[in-house]
Amino acid sequence: MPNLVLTLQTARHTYAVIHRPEVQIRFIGGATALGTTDSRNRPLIKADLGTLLDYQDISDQGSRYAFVVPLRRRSVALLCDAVSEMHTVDEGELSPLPPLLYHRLPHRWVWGVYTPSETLILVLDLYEIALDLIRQTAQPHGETA
Amino acid sequence: MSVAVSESNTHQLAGTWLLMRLSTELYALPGPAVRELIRYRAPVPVPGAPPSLPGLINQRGAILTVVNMHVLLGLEQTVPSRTSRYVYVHHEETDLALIADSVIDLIDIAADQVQALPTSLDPVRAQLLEAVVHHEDQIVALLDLDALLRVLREAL
Amino acid sequence: MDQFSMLNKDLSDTDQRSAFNRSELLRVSALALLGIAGVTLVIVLILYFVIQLAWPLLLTMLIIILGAAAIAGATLLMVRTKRENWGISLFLYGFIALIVIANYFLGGLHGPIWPVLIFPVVTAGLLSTARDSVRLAVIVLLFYITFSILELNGIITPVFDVSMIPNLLHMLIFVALVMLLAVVTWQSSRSLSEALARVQEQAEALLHFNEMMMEKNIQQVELGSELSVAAAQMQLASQQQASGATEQASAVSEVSTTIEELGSTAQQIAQSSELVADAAQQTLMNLSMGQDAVDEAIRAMDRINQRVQDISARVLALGERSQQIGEIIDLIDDISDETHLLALNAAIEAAGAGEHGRRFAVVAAEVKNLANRALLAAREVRGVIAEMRQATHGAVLAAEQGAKEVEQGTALSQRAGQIMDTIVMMAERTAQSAAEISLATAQQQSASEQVVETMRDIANVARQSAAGARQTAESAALLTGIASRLHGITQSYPESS
Repeated sequence: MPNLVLTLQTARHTYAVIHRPEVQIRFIGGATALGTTDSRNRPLIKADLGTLLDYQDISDQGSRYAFVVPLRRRSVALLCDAVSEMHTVDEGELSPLPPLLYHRLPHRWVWGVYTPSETLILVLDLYEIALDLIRQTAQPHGETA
Repeated sequence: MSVAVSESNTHQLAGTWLLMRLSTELYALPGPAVRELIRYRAPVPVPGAPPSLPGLINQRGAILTVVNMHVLLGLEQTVPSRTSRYVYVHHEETDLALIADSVIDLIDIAADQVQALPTSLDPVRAQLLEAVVHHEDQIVALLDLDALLRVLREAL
Repeated sequence: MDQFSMLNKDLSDTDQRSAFNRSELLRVSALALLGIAGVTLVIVLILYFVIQLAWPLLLTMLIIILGAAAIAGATLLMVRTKRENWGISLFLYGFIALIVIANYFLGGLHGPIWPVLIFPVVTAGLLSTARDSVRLAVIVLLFYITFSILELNGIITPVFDVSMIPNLLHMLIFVALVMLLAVVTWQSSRSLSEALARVQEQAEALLHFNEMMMEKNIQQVELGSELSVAAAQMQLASQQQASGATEQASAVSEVSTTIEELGSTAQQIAQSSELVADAAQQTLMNLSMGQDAVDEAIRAMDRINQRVQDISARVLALGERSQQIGEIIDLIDDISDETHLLALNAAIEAAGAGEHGRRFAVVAAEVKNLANRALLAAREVRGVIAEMRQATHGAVLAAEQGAKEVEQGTALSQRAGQIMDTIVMMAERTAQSAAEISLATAQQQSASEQVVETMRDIANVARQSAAGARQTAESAALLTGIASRLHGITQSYPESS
């Protein structure tokens, strides 16, 4: 089954995500502002994807894109500078992280790698990131995903 | 961790080794484990990864986990140069790209060349080494890939 | 003016007043005595013939008359022979003696003594000095006492007793005596008053003359003292002049010596300035050569500068070329690096291929060796190029330094040229100055010779003036002596007057 892979840019890096229909991509900028709630009027939590993954990756752009990840009781908007390409990729071009590295990571934010030709792009798991964000913000209230 | 080089061990250690330079020291990797030498390029960093694993590279479709040998051996960090190389090592189903400041040559090591590690050696470094050999009036430390994998899985 | 001359002649006499008309008085007195003698003779004759007096009386009278006449004659004789002192004394004392004797014999002790006493005294007082009156009074008293003693002892007896003499006779004698006295007194007083008037005139004249004399004396004294002072001053001055002239003479000789020295110095200076002029001329010649040399140096510096810039440009071009070579060497390095990597990988592959890869491994090793050699060669070339670049860099730096130094050298030689110009100017000026100096010193030399001659003249004059001053001093000394003597003389005048 072919996968749809989106590549997105932060200030310093390029990441890839596997497209999921339930994750909305919204343009933010000018008159279009991101509210505090999602389309279903649930609380919307915002986070900058760049700085989340690399503390030095700070965006200075005015218009952003948001991946709005719907969860059970709220949504998480993960912001990036640009969403550039959408690729239909074969299984061969997507591979999980090498186990040695995968086991040494503190979270499951990176699902694997997308390796078109000689390049290598990290494939992010937006749900894991959103859930981790919810966990971090909701931890004092004992809420779980 | 004391490294006693037994008779069988020295015999095992004899063979082809890849001689490389890390900082100012000479190290050798077992030749059969080396798949390829790759010109150094910046790896793709993985968020949350430890300093010993600075990222990933794609070498003709193979995803190699980059290993910073300087961090593991407690050596002084060096700035990548024209001679910097990745040594693609395949060991126990794991593909690693070890950063070397330069790769010198494949050398053959005889069993009688192998010497025990100096007891004064730092244990952190010593745990990654099999033995030392004298090659062209220089001491070459022989790296232990099993130990390397073990250390990489456990810490650093 | 006879009297004045006589008085003038008698100025040194001590008894001026009593002697002024003594001879005349004596003449008068003698005439009076003759008159008395005549009157007495007349009276005696009258008495004898009229009154019939006795002959002793007449004899006595005759004696008296003869005595008086004798005295008068003697007196006149004395006057004629100008023996006044003697005459007056003889007259007086004879007269007194006559009167006293006559009085005694005519009156005796009881006769008219008072006229006898008064008459000679008064006469003496009138005719002679007070000393004479005293002397007469004493003599008369002695006479009277003598006669008194002689009469009392009876040795002598008067011819007439008073009682025998009638009062008329007594009266007549008295009258005659009084008349005689009156005559004498009149004569005396007339002559005295005349004499007094004359004396007064004379005294006034004398006073006037004295005053004149005094003034003259004072003037003389003053003149004398002034003269002496002036003479002393003159002496002092002439002495000073003499010493000054001597000093002047010695100073003049010193000055002439100095000026002779100056003259010789001027000559030396003239010689020196000629030398300087020659030297300046020489310098000028040398300098023109030096200027040519400097111009040549400047041109040479310009040429060197161009050459150095040329060299510098070429060396820079060489440096660029060597950089290009370096880039090529980098490429070779990269290629041999890559080759080495490939050879290593090939060796690794060959090792992995086991027996099948053995031949391939040999080739790989060869390639690797080749790459290694290429690397080594490249390294060597790199070293050579590094050396070359260093050398070219040094050459460029040296060329730049050389260019700078050449610029400095050019500037220096230009400055040297300017300095040369200045020196030429100064040398010309020096030559000119030397010529002027030699001219001036020649003038100075002639002038100093003239001065020496003049000084010699001055010295002679000074010597002469010294001699003259010495003479003047001697004259002044003489004059001083004369003045002091004059001073002494004039100072003794006022004391005597």
